[in-house]
Formats: sequence, C-alpha cells, structure tokens
Amino acid sequence: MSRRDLTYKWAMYGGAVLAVVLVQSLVLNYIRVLSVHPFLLPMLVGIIAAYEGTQGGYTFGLIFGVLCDITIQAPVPCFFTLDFVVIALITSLIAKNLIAPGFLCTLVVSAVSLLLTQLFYTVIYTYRSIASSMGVLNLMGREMLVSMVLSPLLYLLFFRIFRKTRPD
Amino acid sequence: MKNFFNKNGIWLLFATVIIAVMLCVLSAFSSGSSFLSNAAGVVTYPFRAGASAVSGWVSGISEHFTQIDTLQAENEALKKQIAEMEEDIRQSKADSEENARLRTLLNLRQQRHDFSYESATIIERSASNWASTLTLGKGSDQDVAVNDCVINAEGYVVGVVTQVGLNWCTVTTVLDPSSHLGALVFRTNEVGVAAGDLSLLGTGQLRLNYLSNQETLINGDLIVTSGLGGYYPSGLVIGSVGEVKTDDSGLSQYAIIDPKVNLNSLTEVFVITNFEVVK
Repeated sequence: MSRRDLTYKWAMYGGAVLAVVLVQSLVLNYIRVLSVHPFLLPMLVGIIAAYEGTQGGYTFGLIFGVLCDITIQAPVPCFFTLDFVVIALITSLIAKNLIAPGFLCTLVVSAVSLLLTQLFYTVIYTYRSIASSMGVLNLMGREMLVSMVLSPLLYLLFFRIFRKTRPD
Repeated sequence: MKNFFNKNGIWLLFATVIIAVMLCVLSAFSSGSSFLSNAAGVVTYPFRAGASAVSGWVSGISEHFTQIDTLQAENEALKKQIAEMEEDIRQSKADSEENARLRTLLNLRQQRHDFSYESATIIERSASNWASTLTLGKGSDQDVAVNDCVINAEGYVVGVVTQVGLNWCTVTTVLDPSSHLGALVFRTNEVGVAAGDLSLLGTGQLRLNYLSNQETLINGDLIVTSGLGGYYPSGLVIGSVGEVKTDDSGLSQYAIIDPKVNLNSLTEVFVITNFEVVK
C-alpha cells in the first residue's frame, strides 16, 4: 500500500471517528435509556483493530487512548491508554484467528471491547471499594444492552471504509 | 501477526508503559490538571463551547414546540408561587429586623455566609456511565480552584471541582461514586457522609452513610453540607431523604438521598471561589 493510500485510509477512519465522537458528546450523552447512555468509544477501537490488524489497531488504540486520557476525566490518568491498547490487541487477535471482518465480527468485537472497558472500571472501583458487585453487574448489563444496539450503525460506517480502502 | 509481535512486541510494550507512566507522572506532579490535559482543554474549548451552544439551541427549539402546554401550566404555578414568596419575603424582612434587634440586645455576633461566586456554563457532560462529571467553561483564569464547591441558581449543591485548566474545569457531581461530602441532617443535626454510589448513579440518587442507629430519620428530612473541616461552606442543600435503610451489619443506618438539583436539565452553575462563614 502506497503512502498516499495509507494516508487516505487513516484520514477516512479519522473523519469517521471524529463524527462518532461528536455524536457521542452532543447527542448520546444526553439520551438515557434504562438510566444509561450508549458508550461507543471503546467499540471504535475494537472495530478498527479488528479490520486493520494488530499494527494499525495498536497504533490507533494508543493514540486514541492518549487523546481520551487528556480530554476525558478517568479514574486513573492512563486509563484509556491501557484499556484501548488491550482492546486493540485482543480484538485484532479475534478477527485474525476466529471471525473474519464482517457484521458478526463487528458485533463480537464491539461486545468484547465494551466488556474489557467495564472490567477495567470494575477492577479500579473494586480496589477503591466504591462499588458493590450487584451494582457493577447491573450497570454492565444495561450499558452493554444500550450500546450494542448502535453496533450495526458502526458496522455500516467502518466496514464501508475498510472495503473502500482495502488493497486489492 | 506472529512476526509483527516477534519484531515489535517488546517495543510496543515499552511504548505503552512509557506513555502510561508519563501520563501518571504528569498528573501526579500537577495541582489542577496536567500540562497535556490543560493544553487539550484550552485547544478544544471553543469546539466544546460551540457544540454545547448548538446542542442547547436545538434542544431549546424542540422543547419550544413540545412543551407549550406544560410551560403555560408551569407559568401559572410560578406566578402563584411568586405571590406566596413575596409574602414570605415581607415576613422574613420583618423577622430579620427583629432578629438583628434581639442579637444586639443579647450581644450575639451576626451569622452570615459570605460567598464569592463565578457563574459558569456547562460545556460537556461525562461520556462514561461509570462516573458523573461536568466540564465548565471557567478555569484558573477566573480564580476557580480544585475543591471549590459548585451550586446551581437555587443554591443546591451540584458537586466539587476536581480538575482545573486555564479556561475550563471539571466538576465531579454529588452522584459520582468517588464523591464524598460531609453532611448534616437539618432537623436532628446528626452528622454523616453523603456519598455517590454506583448502583444509584442511574437513578440519580446518593447515599447518606455513617449514621448512628439511634437517630430516627424520616422521609423528606433535609440534608445539608456540614462544613466540617472547612473545605466546603456549611448549610448548602444537598437533597432530602427518600428512604432509610439499615446496612448489612445491622449496626448502622444509611439513607437514600434524592438530590435537589436536577443534573440532566442543568445548563448553568455557580462556582463558590471563596467563602467565609461567620457564626
């Protein structure tokens, strides 16, 4: 893949990610279903890593994680950096070894990404003794349900970019 | 895949660890917010503020069309409430004058709260369901500092400033699981701790912990800040008791508090940048 194609591909991904981030902060953060709002940021990392493989996914996860850490308040200063790197590595492995990139893959990696982020939160909150197991499970279930509803839309957006920019 | 890891695995791990440690160190050695967070906050401020204004404008238009009937009814109720409050104000003026005369007679010091406020617009809400934070469009340039208390227009507690940049700050609301405020039951003067709880975050409630079993709380009891320790002003309304429960050990009670402030409809708040309570 030429440098120009590579730049074009990541510019497309960057634009799509920016659009989703804007939708998240302007619309989704205000919509509450089952007392939670959809949380799409980890799913973005998981989907892109599944489509683009370990190298691209890792680099994207690291950069996006650092950006989130310096703009969003998190329980620990490097929360999103570590979380998104782990998501990128695991989802790229899933896409490489278990399910080829496509609709089903998007659903699976979205769920795995969200679950990993929830587990990161759970570990920190449990360590700080500010969460009961029932409370955590309840929140995890509701957040998963509400966020996964939007996973097909992310598939439509990112799979189109993946197909359009894939080298023949 | 294997080749990629074999070739670059150690460097990937090294880069991640270095960046994570750098973020932690930057955060640990900065009082308000790290240099990177501060710079990112300043750069993104116009976009956040613009986006928030557009969002508020759109929501205002939709509300204009959908809530005319509700607003008319509310308007009538408010007119009635204003009339009642004007009567209360007249009465309270007379009471204040009487109070001042009696204090002079008894040689007591005046009680007063002196607050310095900084009004601020909410420019962003927390993206995560695991925390409850607000980003405001005021920062250290306007004397906002970490641990400043934030209230709404009615004087109800919204939260506490936990991160400050040049022209922005982050407020951890009273609902956040990491939030702990010294609280007082207004009726009984019993002291407790109002704390956010993850299982109550969705319902918009918080807990009042460390109450002795001897006291009898009743539904509707007003909970205010205790002001103990001097970090926050005393007497600011947090909420009212919605339900009283006994904890698993059976030794102490806790109460579920319905906060007076409605965080979902909040657009503007006031940061108490300085306060003095004379008792």
